[in-house]
Amino acid sequence: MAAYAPYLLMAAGTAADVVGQRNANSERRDIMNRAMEKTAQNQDRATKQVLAEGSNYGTKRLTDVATQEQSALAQALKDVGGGTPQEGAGAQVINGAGDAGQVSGDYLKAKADRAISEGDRLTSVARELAKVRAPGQLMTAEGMRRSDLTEQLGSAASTNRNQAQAASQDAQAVEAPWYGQLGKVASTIGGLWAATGGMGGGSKPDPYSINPKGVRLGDPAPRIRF
Amino acid sequence: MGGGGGGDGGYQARQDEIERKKAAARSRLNAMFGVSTAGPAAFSTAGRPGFLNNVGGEVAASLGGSAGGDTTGADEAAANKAARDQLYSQVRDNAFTAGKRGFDEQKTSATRNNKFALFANGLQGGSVDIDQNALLDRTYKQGLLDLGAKADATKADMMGNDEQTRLGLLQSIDAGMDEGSALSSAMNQMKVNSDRATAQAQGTALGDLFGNAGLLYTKNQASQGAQAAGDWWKNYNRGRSTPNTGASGSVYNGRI
Repeated sequence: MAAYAPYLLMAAGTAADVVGQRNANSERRDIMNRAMEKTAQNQDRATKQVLAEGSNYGTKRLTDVATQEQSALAQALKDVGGGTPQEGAGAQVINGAGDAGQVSGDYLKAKADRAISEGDRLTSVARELAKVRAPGQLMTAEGMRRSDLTEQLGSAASTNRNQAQAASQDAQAVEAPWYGQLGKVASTIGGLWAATGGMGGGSKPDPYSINPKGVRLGDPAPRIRF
Repeated sequence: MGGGGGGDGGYQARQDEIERKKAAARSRLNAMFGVSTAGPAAFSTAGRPGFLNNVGGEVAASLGGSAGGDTTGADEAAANKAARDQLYSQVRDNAFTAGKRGFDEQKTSATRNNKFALFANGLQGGSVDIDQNALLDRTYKQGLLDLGAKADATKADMMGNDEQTRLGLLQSIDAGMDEGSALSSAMNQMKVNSDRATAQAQGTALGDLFGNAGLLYTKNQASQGAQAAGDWWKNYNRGRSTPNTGASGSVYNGRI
């Protein structure tokens, strides 16, 4: 039984070494898989953000432009002295040079008509201008929003890259477990043991031995028989 | 069997810590600019529809921590956003008012001149009076609309510069600028942008719109000018055997 001990030691050591290597590789794969999982999640998140941004350019854009038009119109009417987008600027005040003196009824009527028509005209002009300005204002807001998104995506990509590098370094730093290293040592010892025939089980090599029959230097020459 | 030995995940833990700090710095910087990373509720989309939550908060969430997206951060962001909106509104008002002041003076002058012209021509209290004053008012209102556009541009310029500053600083954080330096730089750049916007607000003038509106007094002035030029021309050519036509350019050299 003792004759098999080195072989058993070698086999057990090799097995432990193999299992240790396998577990270390598994650990490395786990680290990289976790990193990949994180990367995939970040990618999904980035994709969602991009798609959310893209959704602003469908039918919603019509609503956005209309809303911006109303906002621009309200601001324009406020600038010219009042009115609401719904009701318009209202009749405009026209101060005639002859208001202080005697004027005809026709004059007053014409002035009142003109005040209303000028109000309508002003509302119309403000509305046209709002239509012209709204797309530009909307595009400015969209440009800032896209810049923000691009920066966010860039930052996420940077974070991703850094974390992937860290995971790679962690994976490279994974060592074989203690039983694997012990197995490697045991395997080496077993191999040496087997090569020498087992500890204490074999004869010591005779430094003087030069042939298998045990002829030594100084011995009388063997007789040769014919 | 246990897992592999060694490799304690130290690099990832440290990297996560770095990213967490970056996310916190980004969150604080965003809060300064009125952009909340806590959630959409704290960040009004009135000015910038569809703005997304900052990814820093999401990174922090994925790291299992908070990127400053707490209530305090959201409150700070909301307060800063309100202050910034007020500032933008103020810059627009300043730009509009600065241009309007000069324009009002022009209108007063034009109204007076127009009235004189109407009286001089005996047209007060008639349809021309109404036409002329309606035209004057129309020109004035058109000028106000143009002023509004200029003021809008000033405001948009400032908003764009602030946003550019914010994004640049966020990039700096990603590149490794520490939180303190980023915030200090943000404050300085915001001040520069604000000063620039204020300076621009003083320069929203429209020129003399009434001069080209076709008002009666400008027509009178134009006809008076033409009359004066004609008189001078006649006087210049008086006594000459070959009156200078001025058209060939060979005799008349432009000197008066």
